[in-house]
Formats: sequence, C-alpha cells, structure tokens
Amino acid sequence: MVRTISGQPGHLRAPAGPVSGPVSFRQRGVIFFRRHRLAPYLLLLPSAAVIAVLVLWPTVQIAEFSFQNYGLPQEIGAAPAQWVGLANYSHILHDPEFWLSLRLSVISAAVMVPLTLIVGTLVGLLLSHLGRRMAAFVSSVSVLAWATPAVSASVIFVWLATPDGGVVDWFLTKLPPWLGGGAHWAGFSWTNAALPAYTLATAVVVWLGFPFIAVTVLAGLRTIPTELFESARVDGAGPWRIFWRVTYPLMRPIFQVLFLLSVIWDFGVFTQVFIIIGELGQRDEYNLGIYEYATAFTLPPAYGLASALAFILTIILLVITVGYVRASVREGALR
Amino acid sequence: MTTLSSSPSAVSSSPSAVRRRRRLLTRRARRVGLNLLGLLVALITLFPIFWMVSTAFKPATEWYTLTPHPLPRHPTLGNFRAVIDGSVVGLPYWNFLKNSLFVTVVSVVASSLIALLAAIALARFRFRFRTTYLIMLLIVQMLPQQALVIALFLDFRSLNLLDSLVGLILVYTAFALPVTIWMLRNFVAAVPRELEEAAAIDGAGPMKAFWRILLPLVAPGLVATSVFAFVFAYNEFIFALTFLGTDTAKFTLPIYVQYFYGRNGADWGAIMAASTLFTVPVLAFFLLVQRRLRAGLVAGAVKG
Amino acid sequence: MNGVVTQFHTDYPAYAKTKVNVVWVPWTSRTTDWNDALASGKNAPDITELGNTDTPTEASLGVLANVSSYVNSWSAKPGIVTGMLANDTQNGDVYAVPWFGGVRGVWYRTDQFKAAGITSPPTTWAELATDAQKLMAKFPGTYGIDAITDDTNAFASFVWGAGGQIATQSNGTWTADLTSPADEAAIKFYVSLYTKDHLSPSKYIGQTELGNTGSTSGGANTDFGLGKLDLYIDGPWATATMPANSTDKSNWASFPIPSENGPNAAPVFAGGSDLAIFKTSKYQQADWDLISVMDNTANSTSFANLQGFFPPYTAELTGGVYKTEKFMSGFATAAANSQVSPLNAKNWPTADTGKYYIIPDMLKSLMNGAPFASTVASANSQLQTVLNTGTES
Repeated sequence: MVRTISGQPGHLRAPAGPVSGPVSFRQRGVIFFRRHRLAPYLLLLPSAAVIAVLVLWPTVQIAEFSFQNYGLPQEIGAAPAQWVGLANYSHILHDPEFWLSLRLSVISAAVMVPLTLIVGTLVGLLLSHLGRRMAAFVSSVSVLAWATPAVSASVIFVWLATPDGGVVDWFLTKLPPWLGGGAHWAGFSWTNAALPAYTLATAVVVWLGFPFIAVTVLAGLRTIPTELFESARVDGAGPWRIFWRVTYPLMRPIFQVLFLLSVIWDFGVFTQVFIIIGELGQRDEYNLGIYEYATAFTLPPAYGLASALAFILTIILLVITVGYVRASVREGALR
Repeated sequence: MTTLSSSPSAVSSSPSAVRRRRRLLTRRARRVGLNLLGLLVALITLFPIFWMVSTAFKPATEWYTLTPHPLPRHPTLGNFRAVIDGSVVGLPYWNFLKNSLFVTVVSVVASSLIALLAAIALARFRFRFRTTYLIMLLIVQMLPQQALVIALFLDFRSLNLLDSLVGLILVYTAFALPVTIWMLRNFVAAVPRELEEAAAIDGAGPMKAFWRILLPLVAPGLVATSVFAFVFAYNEFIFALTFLGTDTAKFTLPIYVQYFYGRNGADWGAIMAASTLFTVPVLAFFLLVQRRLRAGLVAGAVKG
Repeated sequence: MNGVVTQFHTDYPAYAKTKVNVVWVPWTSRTTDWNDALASGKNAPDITELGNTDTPTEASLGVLANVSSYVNSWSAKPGIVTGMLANDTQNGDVYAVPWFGGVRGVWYRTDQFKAAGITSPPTTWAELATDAQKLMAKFPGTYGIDAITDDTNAFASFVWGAGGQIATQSNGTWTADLTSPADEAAIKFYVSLYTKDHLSPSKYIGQTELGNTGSTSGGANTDFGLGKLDLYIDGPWATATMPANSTDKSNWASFPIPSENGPNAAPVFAGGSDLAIFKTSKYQQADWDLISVMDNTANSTSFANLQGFFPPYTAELTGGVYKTEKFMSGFATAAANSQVSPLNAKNWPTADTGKYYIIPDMLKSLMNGAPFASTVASANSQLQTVLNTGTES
C-alpha cells in the first residue's frame, strides 16, 4: 500500500546550501502557494461544486419530493406541489408490489453477491497459480467481460436463453436427467417469470462482475509473502486449509471491501434486469429500483411516490455504505 | 537435473530420485491441468461475446436452428449493413457513434481536469475538511442512479436540458468524479514530494513544478482514470434512457441498442450486429490499455 | 402522406407555401411524448394521430383542442360511423375525428384447415380449442393458438363472448365485473389454452402479440408469418409487421373470434385511430383544413387499406368490398358487432398497459399457477379502484 511521503506541508525543508541570500520571487511564490490556507479549497472548488449541484442537491430533492404529491398536474404547472407528510410512505407500506419488489431485490442480491465473490475468488486463485503468460491471457479475456457494456451483455444473454432454438435450452435438453436435463427444457422461456428471469440476470451479473473480483484478489494474493504458503504446504496443508488459514485472514480487509461493494452494486442492479424482463411490462418481475423507475416514468407519473421509493432504496444502500466507509477507514484508505 | 540424464538405472532405483521424478511429473501434470482450467475459464468467458459476433454474421434462416451452430454456414454482412445504413431505425449507426463519442470524450476530459485539481488538493495538502471530503466521495459513489434520476429529470426539464447531449455530459462528469478523484489521489500521493520541493529550490514556480514534475509522473494514473471515466460514460444507460426521451437522433449507443432490441424483438441478427458495433470499440480500447488499467484497478481497489 | 400534402396544397392554395412536417414517432411511447411535449413545450405537434382509446383521456387532460365548430360544419360528418365519433365526444364537445378503425379476428391458413379436416371455422370456444388441437396434431412442432397475456383488447372478446362485461359504469362510478360467472368462465377458458394441452406455448406468457411489451415486431406475429403458429388472434393490420419471408401468404384467411356457445361471433373491440389538433397549436384553422383533406372518404379509405384497417365511413364498411375478400371477410363480419367500453374509460390506459397491467398480470399469474379465486378477486378490486380513481388506492 502506498503511503504519502512524509513531510509537513507548509514547511519547506531547509535547503542544503547556504541559507544566506534573499529568497527568490519564484520561491516565495511556492512558499506562498503552499502556506496559503485557501489553496486546497480553491483546488477542490470545481469538483465540490459539480458534485454538490448534480449529485447532492438531487438527493435532497428526492427526500423533499417524497413528502409531496408531485404528479402530472404539478409537472405541467397546473397545480402546485403540496406537502402530504408521510402519505407516500404509508401507501408504500401497504403496497404489495413494493414488498414483492423489495423481496426480489434482497433475494437476488443474496444470490448474486456470494456467487460473484466465489467465482471471482476462484479465478483469482487460479490466476495466481498460472504461469505468467497464461495468467496474462486469462486475465485479459476476463477483463473483456468486465468491459462489455451491461446493455450488450444483457441482450446477448437473452438471445442465448431465447426459447426458440436458444443455446441454453438446447444445452439443457441434452443434459442427462440426473443433472436435471431433459426434453422439458425445450422452448422454456427465461424471461416471463421472476425466478428464471433473475437466474438469467444473476448469470449476467456474475459474468460481468467476476473479473473485477478476480483481478483484485490476484493483486491481494501477490502481496502475501510466498514463504507463508511454502511453510503451510510443508506442514502438509491442502489448498482448502491454506486458503482458510493463510489467505483469507491476510486478505480479509480486501474481501470485506469487495463484499460491501458487491452488495451495493447488486442490490441496485438496474440495466440488466430492465433488459431481461422486457423493460416495463412485467410488474411481477420488478425489483425495487425498477419499480421506483416505473412509478416515476410510466403514465400517469407519480414523482412523489417514486421519490419515496427512491429514498427507501437510497437509505438501504447508504446503510450498507456506512459499513463500507468504516471498512475503508479501518483499511487505512483515508489516511 | 544432471542425475536424471546420466545413469538411468541409478535414477530408477534410488527412492529419493523416484520421489523427485514423481513430484516433477505431478508438477507438470498440475501445470497442464491448471492451464487447461485457465483455458476453460477463458473460453466460457469469451463464449457470449463470440455468440454475439457469430449471430451478427448469420442470415435470418440460421438464427433458430434446432441444434445451434457455432459458426454461420452462409455468413452475411446484411445485418451490419442494415445497422450501418440505418434502414431499421431510420438513422445510420455513425450518428449514434458520434453522439456517444462526443458525450464520452467531453465528459472524460472535463472530469479528468476537475479530478486532477481535487486530487492534488487531497494528496498534497492537509486541511480541515479533508477527511470529510474523502468520506463524502465514498458515500456519493454509492448513491443509486435510478433514484437520483427522478430529481435530475425534473430539474433538467425546467432547465430545458432534456433531449440534449449537454445534459448528459454534465451528469456523466459529475458521476465520474468521485471514483476518478479517489484513484488520482493515490497516484498523486505516490509521487514523492521531494521532487516538487527540489524543483522549487531550483527556482521553478508552482505552475512549472506542476507541468514539468507532477504531470508526467501522474500521466499513467490519468490514463487509468480516463479509461474508467470513458467506460462509465460510454456504457451508461439509465440517464441516457431517461434524458434523451424519444429524440432518436440524439441517442447514444447503449440506448440505440436497447431501442433496437425493444422494438425489433425478432430481428436477432440486426440486434447482435448493433450490439457488436457498440461493444467492439470499447473491447478493442480495453485490450490496448489493459496493462495500465490493471495497475489502476489494483491501485483503486486495494486502497479501498 | 406525400400525396395528401400535395392535395392539401392544391385544395387550399392559401397554404401553398406552408410546409407540412410529417414526423413518425414510436406508437408505444406516444402518451409520454404528448405529455412531455405539453410539459416542456418542445416538440409539440400541431396535429397528432391518436388511438381512439387515447382520445377521451387526452381530451380530459387538456391536450386536445376543441374542434366542435369545425366538425359540425364538415361536409363528411354525416357519413362517419356514429359510434366512432361518439367516442371522440365529451360533454357534447368534439375533440377529434376518427381516421380509421379496425377489429381483431383469428388468422388461419385455408390449406392447413383442409389438411386437418376442418371444414368450417369454429364458432364456439370448444370448437376453437379442438381445432387448435387438430392443427397441432396434424402439424407437429407448431403452436396451436397464441394465448398471450398482454393483449386485453383481444381478451375482451372472450369476456364479451361469454355475455359478460369487464366493467360497467353507472352515474360516473365504475364497477369491475371480473368476478362475475361469465367473466370467470372466459378467464378460465383463456388460461386453459395454456394450462390444458399447451395449445399455447409458455413463451407467450407475459407477451403481447408482437413479443415483449414495446416491441413493434416479433412474438406470435412473426411465428404465424413463419408458419410456427396455426391460429393467431390479431387484426388485419398485423400484415404490416409480418416478416418479409412469411410463408403461404396466399392462404391467409380470417374468422371472427367465437363466442362461448355460438352461433354468433363474440363482440370485438373497435380499435382505431383518430386525428386531433394539439391544444397548443398556433395554426388551428390550417390544421383542420389539412385534417379534412387527410380524412376525406377517398384518402382515409386508401390509407386504411394500405394498413389493413377500415375507413370510418359507414357506407364503405357496409358497401361490400371487404365482405367478399377471403382475408378481410372474417374481420368485416366481426366488425358488425363491436364494443368499446370500458376500454375508452379515462383511466383505462392506466389500469391496463400504461402502469398497472391489471388484466395482463392477472392472466400471467393464473397461467403461472396462482390460485384462481384470490387472483381474480384482487385483480377485480384493483381494476375497480384504478378505473374510478386513477391510482391503486
């Protein structure tokens, strides 16, 4: 891990040569720049402004709209937005579609995250044992999957799983019955019910997500001194034991960060599910993010209600983010 | 190793040599096995991309065969022609590529500049709100886009920024900043401070120190963060979907592919051709910069 | 449209210099486009085509201009089908004029019927199911009939064909009727097309007749064109979206959707398009003049024929040209018995394919095995609430 080179800003180290003589104008400029309190704030101003206006302010607005009855009349200016207190939230709590979409979000994240982590870690371990050229080849190929746009990946997987002569159904009919295969898979549609659709979505998410995990794990593995592995092997430990006794404890902060990042990404997955469930026609397949989007952007638009849903989604993710921030702080990333 | 080549009879009888040879064989077998496994991983990972390209070259008669054929029997350029000419959507492919590149390049340049300034501030200075700012950057990365899109949509509507690529550029710049600043901060911090200070002693002003010393050393970091920002903007879906409405002329590539797919559900050849034309540039770009990128991935991730 | 614009310039020399900009926008996003245009003030058209079921809603939202004075002095007005014009009228004010109309029927192939020994098209539900079965047996590998879940306009014919109503209105309040015995019989039969004997394949669950929601081609439409589907429920306009390499086009024919017990056909939904002037248009007189050219007998008939629709003029419909054509005769017969309500209710789009997909989701759940009574009951109460209030609660 890189640490900043120590040295206090604002104090120039004493020059090695003679101290006598006037400080040049330029040197004074540097000292001025360094010592001037405003310098960092000026440098931060553009980014702070952009983020505040385009990210932080809309977040506040979402909270604000969630307490209002913002709909089509308000949008076209025919009526002002009125404060309705917790009405939107109580409506949500009684809305079976909300609970269904929340359940879908939670369950799909609960499956996607471990699967991506396991596959990514296994590939990372594999990469660490491969020769240099083979490892470079496999990791380049994997990164191609990571670089593929979510839209393309989703469309490709829907095509692979199409009921009319798609590869997936054909492959499943060829599997022996003891693996679950058979003719009943012919013409099976993967997009018209929640379970198959989210299975397909999980495949896409894992395919897109495992390279990042693999490369990160690989980098982490490379920081572990090989003597630890050697001595464990000499003691007769098998790969399973080595992983849990040596690798995992040393890489736990990295795994924690990866886990939290994955939860945040997979709970809020949108594009892949959007494409797979055929956009906005199948309400029984909405996850929370898509339900919130549909509430806002199908007619009649219900921005207030959608903002309340959005706020709930944001709060859930922020709670997880707090865990992520804590883990980062512990890992020393904020020093 | 010389023992192996000389007296074979001696090797085959001595128990330690037997053990050594067995270990060598198992090591070789192990390596072959691992390489095969690696090959398998690579093939499975590549398969969807391969299938996309293969279908793009297949004529309509070959899409729905009972047993799937990996390669087209009668490859055709017809699907690509339909996409490039725009005979299906009414606008040629170049129109959408132009939109995507315009939005992507401008937002990458803007976010890199702004991020570099912030990174210098965060890496080179100690000031009161530094940790707060860093925490804010972490939190902001996690705000769900599909939630914020509602407020941004309504704001842009009243600012007349809907159906406009400029609105997208603003949003992409803003959302790329947190990750970009974070990564660049690590790169700036990795440049030893003494170099700038030595330049100052030699009489260089702050600007010259920046140009001559810092910038060249941070350049690889800038490349890595630019790649991130590029991929984010090029692939971005939710904001483009919401802000571009139905002004098809302004669509970026991801929305174009989705529009194509959503409307022509049965035209798989053309859908795959459009997807190929959308995906291949970014994949090629990746292969070109992948080594630098891996360093950036590591730097960004391991440090949290 | 180009011919119409030329004619417009000829008939109304005052507008010789007026440029008419014809813009085609995707049908499925039309309501969003209208509302966006109204809200943002950008891209608002002067004249728009709308589905005849959109007209009551858009009129009540204040999107359309009141054209009563133009229409009442229009020479073509007396020849327009009364029911179609009535759909465009609210509280005595006319907000649009019908442009063309269409009804659904069942597509089939005459050669397939002959090969399977079906001598005449089915007139009851039982016959429909048996015929589909015979066709599937005679032509293995094909689907019998498309029981899609996201085409309420077609499903309505089954409800009406059992003598039921989807919802009825009295004194301004809607009562949903999905739990009535007639409605439940229709729902049971339609769902059984999938659950019993798989006359319809599982991939049609959750789909429209063109595939996924929002698709403009694909799905059952493509399957029928390519010979993979034997019986296809849709209107004559579906020819436009059939794949270019469709087989046996010369054998295509139609029969009306059968009622539960025959012998008459089930009532069909009279869909179609209207022409209306946008409220914000600055050239309303010119707009009307253009509309009157677009919608005169000759132009509307030729435009309708191009797409497989019927013009809105009673004389043309009963005239007879359609009745003798093999392909169109089934649709023309069906058109004699048409119904619109409740599909023109103000909140119907919200209840159906705008936001809540109440009936499509109900059919989908039932086909996926949900318990019958509770699913229908909850859909029924949801439908009633949305029709009356526009939101779910």
